[in-house]
Amino acid sequence: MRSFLIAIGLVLLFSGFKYPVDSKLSKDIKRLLNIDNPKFRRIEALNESKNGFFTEIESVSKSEIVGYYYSGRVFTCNNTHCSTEITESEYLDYVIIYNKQASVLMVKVVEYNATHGHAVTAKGWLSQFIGYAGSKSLNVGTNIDAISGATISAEAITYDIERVTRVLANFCKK
Amino acid sequence: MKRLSLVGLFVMFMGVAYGQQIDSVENNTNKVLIRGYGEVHYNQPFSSDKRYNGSLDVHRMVMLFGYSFSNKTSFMTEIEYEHVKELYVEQAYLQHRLNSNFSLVGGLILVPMGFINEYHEPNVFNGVERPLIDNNISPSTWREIAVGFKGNSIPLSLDYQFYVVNGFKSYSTTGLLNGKSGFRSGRQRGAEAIASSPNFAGRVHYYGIKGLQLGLSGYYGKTQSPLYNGIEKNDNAALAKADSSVVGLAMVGFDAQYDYAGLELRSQLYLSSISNSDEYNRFTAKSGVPNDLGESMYGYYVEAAYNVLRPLGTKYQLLPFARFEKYDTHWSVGDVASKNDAYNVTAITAGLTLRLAKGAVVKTDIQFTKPKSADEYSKVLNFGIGVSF
Repeated sequence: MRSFLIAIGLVLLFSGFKYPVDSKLSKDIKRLLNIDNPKFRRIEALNESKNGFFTEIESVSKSEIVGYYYSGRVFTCNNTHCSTEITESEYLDYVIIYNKQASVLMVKVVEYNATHGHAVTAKGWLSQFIGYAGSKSLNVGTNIDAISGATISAEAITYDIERVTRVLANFCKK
Repeated sequence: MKRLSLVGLFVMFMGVAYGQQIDSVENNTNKVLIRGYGEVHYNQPFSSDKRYNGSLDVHRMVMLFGYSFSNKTSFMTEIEYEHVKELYVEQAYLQHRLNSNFSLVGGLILVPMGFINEYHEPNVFNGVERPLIDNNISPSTWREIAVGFKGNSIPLSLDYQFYVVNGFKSYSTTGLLNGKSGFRSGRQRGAEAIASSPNFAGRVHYYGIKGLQLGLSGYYGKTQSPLYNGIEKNDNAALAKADSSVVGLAMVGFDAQYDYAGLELRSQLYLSSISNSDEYNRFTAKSGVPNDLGESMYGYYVEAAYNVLRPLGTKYQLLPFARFEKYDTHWSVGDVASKNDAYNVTAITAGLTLRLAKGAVVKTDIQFTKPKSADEYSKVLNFGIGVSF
């Protein structure tokens, strides 16, 4: 058993993987979805994206799906979203927790690795996305507040939140 | 225990899966980053009783290139043309991330003083020209060769940077600093720069309250002088002479930015204290007339802008703005220089910024400036286009 735990430790250490097993995220999930024992399952049908993945959150006691989360990486290369022009050292890693209607409950940046624009990691700014369910287009400067000095990152994460939320919304409709 | 094992397996599976994802991202990666910015200006002074020629200038055209060696190590440089024909390397630094909170940085960097010096692309600030205090008190674009670190803490909503940086050059064959232009002519810009004593620069930036950003910057050190070069270590006369050719500079900057629903408020304040200015002014006298570097300087501005098109929900943004600015490079003077009211300036700038798209702006403003010594405001009408991509 001890060697097994060590093996897990080693996997954790070298995989670079932080989420979803990070205790902080599981705390957020428990609090936001009001459950004690979440069970996670990757949504393979939505696994086409290279930069992130969707996970279903099931309540074991209720034995039903109570929400979802998305964990992904956004490259912050340009004034608009990145397409093929991605640079590997300028990125942020973030998580979105959704309720079962695929409406945003929380957006949290877990790792910020771009030279400028740290202000997008602020909880206050990210709280603008709470309640978003993909129905409207998001645009920094009109319905999302701009952040001075963080234009590129703000654009990039906003674009990604809209994209990801729409993917999940379509999946939930089916 | 069984549950623990399941969790373990899950973790292993996810770890491997995630690792694969990152690999595939890397395979797909174009490691070269190309960006740029530029601004073209038309400045037309005018008054009721005199004619003035206007000036037309491609003020800056800058190409930025970055290269990621890995997801931890990257290089960034900016090649700048000023006024079409002056060529500079504006930034050239290597950075290496140690962990999520610390990166090591070395090379030619922008000195972190206020927010304009680091974020000076034309779409970032209102008005055709940068604020006057970012020319006369903080000599933007202020860059020197440095080594240090920067990082951020997501839970604390803070980012920070600290550098050991090369300082201003205060003397060549004559004094380079004075009351009129402060430290501006002492910038070495990493071009065959001389170093006689290290300077320190740091900045902390807090962004934890929605819409509000606060910055505190500091700078401390002595200027650099060629007169130290080759002095015998016990030659007190030569050392005293070299000591007369330098001054000490301590500078702090406070800045605040607030954005709320189309409203954009900006403010910066700089305070500089200069030591050894009397000695320096005597030493750099020209034809018996002592130099006039001040003992302290200050500058501040407050600015408000509002996007009047926001209620329409269009992607265009039109921002009327107004900025009130004051600075004095002779806030106080020592015993040698006499206070010159021509260096105590009030400026009011009002204008329009039209954001056509992200990173493309058309700007116009009218700027009124008045030194305390003058009776009237001088007026300049400015037009400019700016791009950043």
